[in-house]
Amino acid sequence: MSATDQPQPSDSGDGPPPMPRWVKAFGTGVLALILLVIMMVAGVGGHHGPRRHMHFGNSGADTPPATNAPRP
Amino acid sequence: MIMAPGLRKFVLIIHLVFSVGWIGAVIAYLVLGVSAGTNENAQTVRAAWIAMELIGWSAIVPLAIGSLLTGLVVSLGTAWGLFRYYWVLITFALTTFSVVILLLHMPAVSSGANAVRETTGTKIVDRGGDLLHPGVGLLVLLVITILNIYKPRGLTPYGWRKQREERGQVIPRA
Repeated sequence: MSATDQPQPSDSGDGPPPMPRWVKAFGTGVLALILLVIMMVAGVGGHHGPRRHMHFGNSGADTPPATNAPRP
Repeated sequence: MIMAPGLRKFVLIIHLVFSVGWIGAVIAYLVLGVSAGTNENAQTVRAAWIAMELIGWSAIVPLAIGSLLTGLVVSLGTAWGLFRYYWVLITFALTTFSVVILLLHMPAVSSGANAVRETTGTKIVDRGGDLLHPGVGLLVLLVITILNIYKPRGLTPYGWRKQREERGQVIPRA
């Protein structure tokens, strides 16, 4: 939040200025990301919830050995 | 309350040091997280996790909180304000979000570091690294940096009203 320059006064008319396009685009992107995260948490498309990423790459550490593996 | 120019610059320097330091610490953490996830050497993975915990609690968390607090002081102590411009508001929201996620994630990092301390052999390598949180966090910090450099135009309705009040103009009622 660095405020190195001073803000310039705007010359809008009687009403408040409309929301800029970049804010709308940014908001749309954030909404899409939130929806994506909700879908991941809900388990749509596999087990991609946040718990999966708590310990990245931990899957398989506690997996029991396969019982049908060929014996020597 | 608007700060005097000398004080404003001093607070701004502290804020920039915290913010740039936060980005640097996250990059260092990300390097360790990737290294822990890709390295096959158990000692390297163990060392990476212990260093990630240290960097997280000793550098990233204090720098992040410092950046948030000094950012509040800079915005409230200058004509930019906190709610007057969209870029300031979005920066504040993203910074707060990042700090909250960081504080929620760090206990998991500590448990990961504790686990590799107590584990021996190849199970350490199976733990992997930490890529998602520092990766997304770094992207968010870069977005915040871009917003702070470009300062895109856009007054909020609150900012417009305050600007009119300061000019002594009558605000039409809706």
